[in-house]
Amino acid sequence: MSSIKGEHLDVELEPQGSAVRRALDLVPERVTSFILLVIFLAGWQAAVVVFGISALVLPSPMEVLDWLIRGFTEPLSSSASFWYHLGVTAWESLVGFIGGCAVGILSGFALAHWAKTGRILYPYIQAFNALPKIAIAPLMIVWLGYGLSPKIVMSAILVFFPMLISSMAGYHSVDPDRIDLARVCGASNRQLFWKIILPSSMPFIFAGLHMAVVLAMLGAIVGEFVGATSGLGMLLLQYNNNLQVGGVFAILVVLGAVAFCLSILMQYAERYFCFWSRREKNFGGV
Amino acid sequence: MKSRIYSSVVALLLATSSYADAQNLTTFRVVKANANLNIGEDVFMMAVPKQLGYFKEEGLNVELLPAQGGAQAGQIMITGGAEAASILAEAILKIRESNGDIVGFYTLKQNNGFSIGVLPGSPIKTLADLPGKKIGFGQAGAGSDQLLTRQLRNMGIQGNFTPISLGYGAQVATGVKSGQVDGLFFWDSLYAIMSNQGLKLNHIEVPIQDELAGFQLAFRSDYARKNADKIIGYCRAMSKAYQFALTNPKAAVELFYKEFPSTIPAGKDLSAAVTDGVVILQAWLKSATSKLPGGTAPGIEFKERWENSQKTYRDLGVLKGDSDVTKAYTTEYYDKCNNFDRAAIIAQAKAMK
Repeated sequence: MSSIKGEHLDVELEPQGSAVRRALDLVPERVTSFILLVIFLAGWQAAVVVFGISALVLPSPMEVLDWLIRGFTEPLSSSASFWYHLGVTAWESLVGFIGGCAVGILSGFALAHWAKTGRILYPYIQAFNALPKIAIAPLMIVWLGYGLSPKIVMSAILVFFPMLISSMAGYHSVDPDRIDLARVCGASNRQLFWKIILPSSMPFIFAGLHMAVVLAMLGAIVGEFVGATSGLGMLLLQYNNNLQVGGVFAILVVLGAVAFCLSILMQYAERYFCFWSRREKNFGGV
Repeated sequence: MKSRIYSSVVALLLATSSYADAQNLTTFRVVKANANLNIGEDVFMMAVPKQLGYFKEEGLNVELLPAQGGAQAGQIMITGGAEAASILAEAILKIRESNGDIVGFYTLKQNNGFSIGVLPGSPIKTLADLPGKKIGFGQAGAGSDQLLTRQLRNMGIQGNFTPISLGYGAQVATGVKSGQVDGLFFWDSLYAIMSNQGLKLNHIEVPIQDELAGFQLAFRSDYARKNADKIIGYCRAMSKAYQFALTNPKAAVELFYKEFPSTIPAGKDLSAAVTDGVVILQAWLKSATSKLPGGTAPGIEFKERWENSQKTYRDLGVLKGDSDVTKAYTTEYYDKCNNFDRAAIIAQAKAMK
């Protein structure tokens, strides 16, 4: 590592090596990460065996693996297939995510642009945001019936608020001097929005998206808890109520893996769309 | 890979919809009072009649929809989300007090099957030992703890127990094992599940349940007026399956697992899973039918029990108790639901190994 120390400047520069070198720099960290996982799993298995812990309290990793193998090797048409239920939850989450983001971002920009309207509506938005969403989930079933709609709406509701807040914050973060300069140069409102406001807001929007992508899945799961015939949430509840704790853990593993993948995806998306924004290069291994 | 999955899903959807259309089957939705599939009423309300073609014989394509409890099930049905609902009798009375159109017409379970469960060696031997103890409920304040209190008062037992909400799931078993609660107040099939997993409990009966109207199948009267044939069709198919399950619970469990493979435990041999399932089903059926008057087919209900339910829950403050209880139920469908060749069903069940 090079280091330049000056009176007012103390900056460390990373070497701009080749992609191979950078990859090799990362390898030890990933290996360490993997070793940690192996140690954790081995310790868990040993604890269950040595202390005779009941499967109702803590199933062993091998039991969880049994559930995962069974779940992912069942035919797609079987109600025991994790792929099938994952597909249902993923679809609900995706549609809810897109809908919630679209409405949240548009609403955020609108409320930020028309500030007076924003100030009038903001207390109600905050009040609704504070409501425990799981309390309204059963009502969604009564109002919207079964099927995917109530889960999509739950997902969209959970996504809406962080996107609204982050969009408003993004809008307000735009340097007013840039707006003034653009106007002086004859920019139209449309150009102001597409060329300055939206790009400037992107880091804030992506901060919201990082939360929203996981909340979308949580919303779908919550919706499935209260009335569903398919989906990972339904399966989780079924396993829990039938005291099949190994199955519960298996679903939690799947959800964790999906959340991790979505997080990585969002980081890549942020790097692509906000390439100018400075980020810690090795954050999350991306 | 993605296109294969997509085309499989599309093919499956098309096949299902075209199959139903080809059969000219009418969709009949039943919303049940719990959110997950388990061995109990789901065996004969859905799995057995579907697998053996009883629904098809009645021209029905039945969907079983989950709900978070009987109140939500009733809500969904009266707002048109389903054609029938499984629901507790007191929930029917409660909904009717809010002018909800709901009528019980078939008793799925004569005794709801709740009992006190305690660890062997527990100092709780009878209901008289409950005062001063911590008792675990699914949800304290939802009615079952008040019912247990009423049982104690009826027996002249003063003093209170402390109700603890445990929810539903593994924490119920761990709650009693760890001593966080001194006993549980849960139902037969859940105890059977715990027994299968190695937790054997001693049970103390709560006889007040024999005096109250049992777990019901209900409809909206405005729907029944125009669609009595569908109500009877579903009920008859379900009654056949009920008889089948009573005759051969092992075959019934196998059919349940065939219909709902997601309920089969992983890492367990199917025959062992069936054996466990039979234990659960038999526990459920014992509560459901052991108090039936001799030779009576399942489904019957009595005015006295409905009146007792209204009186009991009025005294507990759950009901206002001012609605006409005779309008909350009907016995008109009982004979029609049981109008089938019972001997043939029994023979069919016995023939299945």
